[in-house]
Amino acid sequence: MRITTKRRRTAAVLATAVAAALVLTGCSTGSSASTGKLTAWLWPGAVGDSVVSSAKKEFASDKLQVNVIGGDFKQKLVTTFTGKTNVPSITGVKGEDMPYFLQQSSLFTDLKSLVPASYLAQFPKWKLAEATTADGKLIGIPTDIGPSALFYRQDVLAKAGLPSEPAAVADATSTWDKYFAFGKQLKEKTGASLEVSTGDVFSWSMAQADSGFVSKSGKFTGDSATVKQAWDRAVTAEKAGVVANIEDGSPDWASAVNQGKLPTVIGAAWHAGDIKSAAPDTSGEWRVTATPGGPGNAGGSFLTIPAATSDKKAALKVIEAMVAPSAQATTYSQVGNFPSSSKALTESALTKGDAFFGGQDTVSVFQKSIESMPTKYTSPYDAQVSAPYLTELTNVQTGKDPDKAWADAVKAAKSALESAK
Amino acid sequence: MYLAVAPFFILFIVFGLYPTLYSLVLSFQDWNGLGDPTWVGLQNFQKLFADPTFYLSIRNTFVIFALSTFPMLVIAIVIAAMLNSAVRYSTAFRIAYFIPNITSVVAMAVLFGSIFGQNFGLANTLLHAVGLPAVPWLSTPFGIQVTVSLLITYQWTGYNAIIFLAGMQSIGGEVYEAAKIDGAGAFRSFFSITLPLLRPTVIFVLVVSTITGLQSFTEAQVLTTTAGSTNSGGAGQGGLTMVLYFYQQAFGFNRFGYGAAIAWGVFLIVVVFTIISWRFTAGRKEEARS
Repeated sequence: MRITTKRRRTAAVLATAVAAALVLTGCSTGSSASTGKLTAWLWPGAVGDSVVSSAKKEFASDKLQVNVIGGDFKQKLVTTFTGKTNVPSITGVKGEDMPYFLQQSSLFTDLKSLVPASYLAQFPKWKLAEATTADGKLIGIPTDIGPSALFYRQDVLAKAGLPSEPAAVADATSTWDKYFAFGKQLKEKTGASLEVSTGDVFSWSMAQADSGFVSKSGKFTGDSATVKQAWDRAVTAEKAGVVANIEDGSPDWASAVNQGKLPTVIGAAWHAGDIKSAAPDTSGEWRVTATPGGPGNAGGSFLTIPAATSDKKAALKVIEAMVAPSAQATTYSQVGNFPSSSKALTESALTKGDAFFGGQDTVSVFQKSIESMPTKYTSPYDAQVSAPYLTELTNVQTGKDPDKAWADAVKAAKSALESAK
Repeated sequence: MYLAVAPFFILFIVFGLYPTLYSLVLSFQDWNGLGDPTWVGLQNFQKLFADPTFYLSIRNTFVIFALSTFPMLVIAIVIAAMLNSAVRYSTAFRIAYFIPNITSVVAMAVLFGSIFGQNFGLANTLLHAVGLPAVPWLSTPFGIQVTVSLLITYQWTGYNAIIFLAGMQSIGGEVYEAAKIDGAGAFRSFFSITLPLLRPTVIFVLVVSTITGLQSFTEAQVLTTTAGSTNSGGAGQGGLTMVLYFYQQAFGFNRFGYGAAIAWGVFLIVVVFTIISWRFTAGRKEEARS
């Protein structure tokens, strides 16, 4: 049956229309928000759930839409910035990604032009410095900071005949060597492990240190005494047999935590949220105390206003609501993110004690941590320069000679920095 | 009518050809994803040739490819032969064997991660129950490669079995009857009739498996990514396949230009090996005929 000319033409028109429509859905108009609508992008656990819902209620007139985005948040944000469409009015930026985004500060609004200096005085200077460019532009308001503590299961320790009250545990684990000895006893008596992996021991030793892998001027410092000490400690932990060699966050890890095979772990304040979601049935048995070897500093994120946002003042109001002292206190009790604002520390929600930790006043432990934790510069190349060390540590776990592994790690890290710059 | 096929070509040009050409241009540039790309010429490729991690990723990919493809082909042919001779419930069996292929790879990878966990996984528990020592499935480089290969095999065996089955069913019944008259048993007729006549299908499956197997990414990424180390390939970077290395450099470390160079390196390798595997099977066919 021949297709008639008329049918051919209709078919052709339809086909082109469908194709054109599909292609055009890929393109869209340049700018971001439609008038009067605010969008905020957060990841799960950036702020407490009640903070999100009360922000939605408070700013309903601005049609605030909060998108909680899981998965690779940074990549989705980068894709949106590059595509220049549907850029959110407000976006969170994770602490570890801030050095990267700081390189492209033109994509963000200078918050110093929107808020008075008196508002910024409630946040720690070093945290604000993490989001400030070389010429003084501030691109993010800190939502939380990451002081460390030792999280532990007091029932597992008590059953093993080890000290289980916070002060006693702090005494018994005040240095890394004492901590490893403690871990050996723990292993003998219960078969449980002290830390998740050698990588964790290494990373936390670095978090306690004053210098990192790359200096502020871009020089490679991955072979410094600081890094070598962290490395040696990780190797010692492996040799002492006190690490579990489990991947953090995996189902294996969750089972271990639930079954009491990982009763001690060094973590930042926000790690409480991970434990709470992985092992809710162990509520009431956890405690926190001082970190072995001194407090460390890891994490703490920001809220930013992209430069493409049309109504910057309204966006700022949303941010101020999310980092308000009461909001930060709620976030702490729900997710464990430690408040970045000094004003939040007097809120009642913070002083009353956490049921998950058996009613312990966890805030004072973290506050003590903040008093002496280091605040060092993080380079945008930190991720790729530190990766070889972690890889080589897993090689040591499977039998590689530690000295050779160290030499290989330094070599790989150096070339990673050179080829990245 | 050219207009009738136009939709496909428009979509292909916009979403297929243009991005491919763009990535080729990008491989000669240095771009961190947010700023402006800077032209660096062949520098990315020079770095690539000197990059030991790239060679490690090639080695990992080939190990995973060998571990997954060759057992899978053997198992798929055997399954197809059995399906071919099954009298009852053949459709139910075919559906059952095909289902792993249509389940989400990510979901299966998460499940496999659970099953093959070091201390609390089902696999090690079963091994313990039988008295065997626990296997370090995901904590040694070779263990990771074995686990990733198991997942790939699980996913693709059914699919390839159905393709082999289709190939077998196109072999005429007279050939088998003639062989039976000559006194051939089941095994003899399988090796002397079925396999040689299945050669075109084997070529197709081998070429497609080479192309997809050398680009395996999802299984390796999901099985080895954890909260602490994303896209790193797991212990000893054992699961770092070529495409995962590309993903790590481009999307993890924000080196899009270098990532594009890696992607084109992968393309060259896949082309070379596809030609090799095609020649290997098709060439012998030419010899057999002459």
